[in-house]
Amino acid sequence: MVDDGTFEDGIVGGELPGDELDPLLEQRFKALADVTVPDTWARISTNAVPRSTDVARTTRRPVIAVVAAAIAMIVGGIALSNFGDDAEQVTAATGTTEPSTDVTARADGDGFDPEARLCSTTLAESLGRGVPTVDYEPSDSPSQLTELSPIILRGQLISARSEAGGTVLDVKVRDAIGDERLDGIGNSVSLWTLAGQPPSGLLAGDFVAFLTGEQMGSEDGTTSNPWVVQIEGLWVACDAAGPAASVIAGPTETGWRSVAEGATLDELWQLVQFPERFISRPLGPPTVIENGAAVFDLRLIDGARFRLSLPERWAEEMTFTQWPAPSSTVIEGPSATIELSFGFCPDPGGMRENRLGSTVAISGTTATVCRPDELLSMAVAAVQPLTESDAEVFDLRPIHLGTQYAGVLSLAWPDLANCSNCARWGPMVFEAENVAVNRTGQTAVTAVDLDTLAEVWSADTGGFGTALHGGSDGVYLEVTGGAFLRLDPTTGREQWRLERDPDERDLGLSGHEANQWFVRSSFAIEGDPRPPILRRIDIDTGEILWTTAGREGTEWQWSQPAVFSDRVILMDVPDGDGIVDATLRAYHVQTGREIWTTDLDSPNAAFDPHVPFDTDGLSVLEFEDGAVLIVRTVGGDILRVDPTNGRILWRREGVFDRVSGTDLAADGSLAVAVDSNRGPLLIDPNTGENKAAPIRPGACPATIPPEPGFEPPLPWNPNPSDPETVWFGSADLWTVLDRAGHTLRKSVWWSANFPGGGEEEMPEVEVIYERLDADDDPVVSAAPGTNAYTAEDGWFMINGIEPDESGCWRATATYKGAELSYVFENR
Amino acid sequence: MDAIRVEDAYRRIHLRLWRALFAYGGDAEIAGDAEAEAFTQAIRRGSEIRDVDAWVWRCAFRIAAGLLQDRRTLGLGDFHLDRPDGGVEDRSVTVFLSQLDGLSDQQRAIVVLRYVGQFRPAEIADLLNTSPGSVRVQLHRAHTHLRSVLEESDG
Repeated sequence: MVDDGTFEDGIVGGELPGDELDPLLEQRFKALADVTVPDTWARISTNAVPRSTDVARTTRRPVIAVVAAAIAMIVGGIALSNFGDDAEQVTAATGTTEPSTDVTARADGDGFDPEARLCSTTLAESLGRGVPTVDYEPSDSPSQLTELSPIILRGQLISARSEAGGTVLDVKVRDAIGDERLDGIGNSVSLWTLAGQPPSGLLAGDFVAFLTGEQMGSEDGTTSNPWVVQIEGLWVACDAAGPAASVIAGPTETGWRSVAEGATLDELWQLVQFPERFISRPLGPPTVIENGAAVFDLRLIDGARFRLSLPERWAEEMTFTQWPAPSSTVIEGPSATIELSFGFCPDPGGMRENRLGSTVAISGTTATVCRPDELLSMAVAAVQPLTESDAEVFDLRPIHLGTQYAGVLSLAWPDLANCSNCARWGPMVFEAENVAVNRTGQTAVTAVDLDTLAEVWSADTGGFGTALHGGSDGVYLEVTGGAFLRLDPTTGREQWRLERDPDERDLGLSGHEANQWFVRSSFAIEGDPRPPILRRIDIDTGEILWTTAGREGTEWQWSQPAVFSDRVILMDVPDGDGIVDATLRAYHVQTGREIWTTDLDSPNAAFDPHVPFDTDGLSVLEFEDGAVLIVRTVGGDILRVDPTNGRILWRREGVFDRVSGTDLAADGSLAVAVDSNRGPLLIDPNTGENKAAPIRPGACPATIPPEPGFEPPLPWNPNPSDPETVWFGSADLWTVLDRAGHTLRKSVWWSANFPGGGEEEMPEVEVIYERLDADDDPVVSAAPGTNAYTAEDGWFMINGIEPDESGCWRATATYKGAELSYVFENR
Repeated sequence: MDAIRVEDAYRRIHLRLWRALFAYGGDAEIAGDAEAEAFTQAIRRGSEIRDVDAWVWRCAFRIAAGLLQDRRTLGLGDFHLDRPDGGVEDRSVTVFLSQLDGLSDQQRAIVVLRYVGQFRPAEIADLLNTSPGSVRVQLHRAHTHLRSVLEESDG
């Protein structure tokens, strides 16, 4: 989506079969033509002219009436003056148009702005009062504390309750090191500590905890018994971007302070995982000089490895410094400074592809080097002017992805829907043959030696596109408009070729368990009536063992075929007249005979930009009582299907529009990642129902704001105008809460990063309400919200009103990367 | 210049947009307010907006969704076709629009954008910030539901 209102070019699909208008509905809607339509232009042209005194615009009237009434229900003393354009005038009149100081921003020079510690310090101090340092042993370095603590958790504190003389802290685990029972996305675990209960107003705090302990009475992780832990170190922060604060004093006075003064929780976690991070070290000499290029072996701390190719004359002493994400890696030497980034190519214009598969633009002493479809870019600043021959040797090629780069690829996958060639570019690593293979052009692939990174062989298939497919024992290439090939990874020699119809596209290779290999391909050119094809092949010879056709008028969905015992299962999608629904189809692995088909009641698209590059629409997940087949439709439904007969065991409709992956949680749940910024939804694989841990009636951990409350930065007043409320949150995002109890309220939010309605009329604030005491789906007030202004409370954002249904709710707002939650109870 | 551009857009899409908003919200006041607000904001944004038509459609439906949400929260209900200013004299239209109430907000928006706005699924997906596949699914389900309701009411 572009912000200037246009529809994107190249948007997925035009009219497809099934898009036809329903004649009956068309007829009914046509009757609307008889409805009298008022001319509203007079209102528009009047309202569009700013006036300094008019605060009751005609177009605003209903909005003001609605919101003012709601506000009156809620935040008491906050009297709404105005909205949007009207608020713009009020702002001008009160002289508050200057942007607020962002108190959480890093200050120039050494350290941080002291104000930035406000939120974290408050949280840390309060938690420190509630969580004693039981069994604490001083540590004088991160590595020592890490070694001391067999369990290191990163997560979010959800709730706390007194139990057995201590406190049970319910936490949502984001990452865990040390015990696989804690690992897995979205685990919710209970920690029992010999500790007092932290103030409930500080729930939902992010933390990194260093623990010793074990789970009570459970060795296999299948029960929900709490973990009995001692806290060896605990860091907390109000949000991931803010500086973390240590609850326990010892380590911050020694090792940690010198290493990561003011580090965020993200950075602390990276330190835990990679204690040697933040280093600067020699890049080392080139591993090889070839074709005028010096090739360097660039190894990043998270395990990523790249083949870096630079002009030979730069084969001199260079150093590289890797900063925690999202900062870049910088390589410096006497001749040039090079900044490496993961992301979309900046494309200064004039880019052209070199013989290594990189695109390069040179301007004087600077160069931009990209692998656009691989989200790699280099900004080169040289001492001497660069030449056209230099352009031929610049390249950055992945050999191993590493966690950070893989994460970037995964997050960007939906945006790559319109890429010129969406197939994988590599790397494909063949350990036994000691080579890594990448695409080095639209039709070329190149293997490099894993030790020296020297080129071993290169092959060009011709045609007009070549896709690289994975396999542990061969390099598989799909030539667009041509054959399917296997190359010897050692020599690049062609071992066999499977001739295909020139119109076959979108090949998928899968299922090499028990040496069962299946190749699917489709006639995906619009209007081609031929059914898609599934072949089983002998992977050693390329011989076709059997061929079967799918359904006419369809193509295979781009998920890989899923092999489940004696059957191979695929999803098809409509590609012809008269077909509306996608189906799931199972074929016998030995004969290709169709075993069953299941109508998915889901019009579909072959390419699913919502499924990350490393996941699939069809998942075979191994649960305790056996493997299950999980199907995710492009429309966002999640289904469990019985692979023996194709029966749909359960279906969750439409609530998963933003699913980014499925996985197993350690407690046996199906974990559905619905948003990268939030925890996953846990689903009972047997029923498809949400699997939340209900809060007992009467035990709602409603947020009681700490007092004194959060003090916002200038120009906001230190206290809200309503004396019965206090500010709650941090400078990045705060709200008002009642001092005691709770009244149904409008969802109102403040942020130092919100410039006011004049500049941001529809702020991208989103609020999600989750029931903590029932398995209901969340209620989402999607962005954008609207804005408002009062003289006492300044600019603020509004998005919806709290759900009025009785129960225990957690409201979580996000805005410009900041997140704030509070829990409330409707009685 | 920008105001002229927006006015041109108004002349092009006003009838379709107002009717679509009316069908979506079931309320002439919501339709008028959402449309007026969207065009007003478009004038203010001026040259920031490249495709005024698309921007106004997107913005107007977001505003209408917010107004509907506020109306519900205050217990005012969804449809107000029987109001004097509803602008509807044809009872069959009133009945049909109230039948749309059986759809989810998103399904109703998609159906209205498809039939009244005359947008393709991919364009609707762009307007509503969702995927074309999801639009097709919701459209399919809306068709199924509405056909069932219409066939029942038609006897």
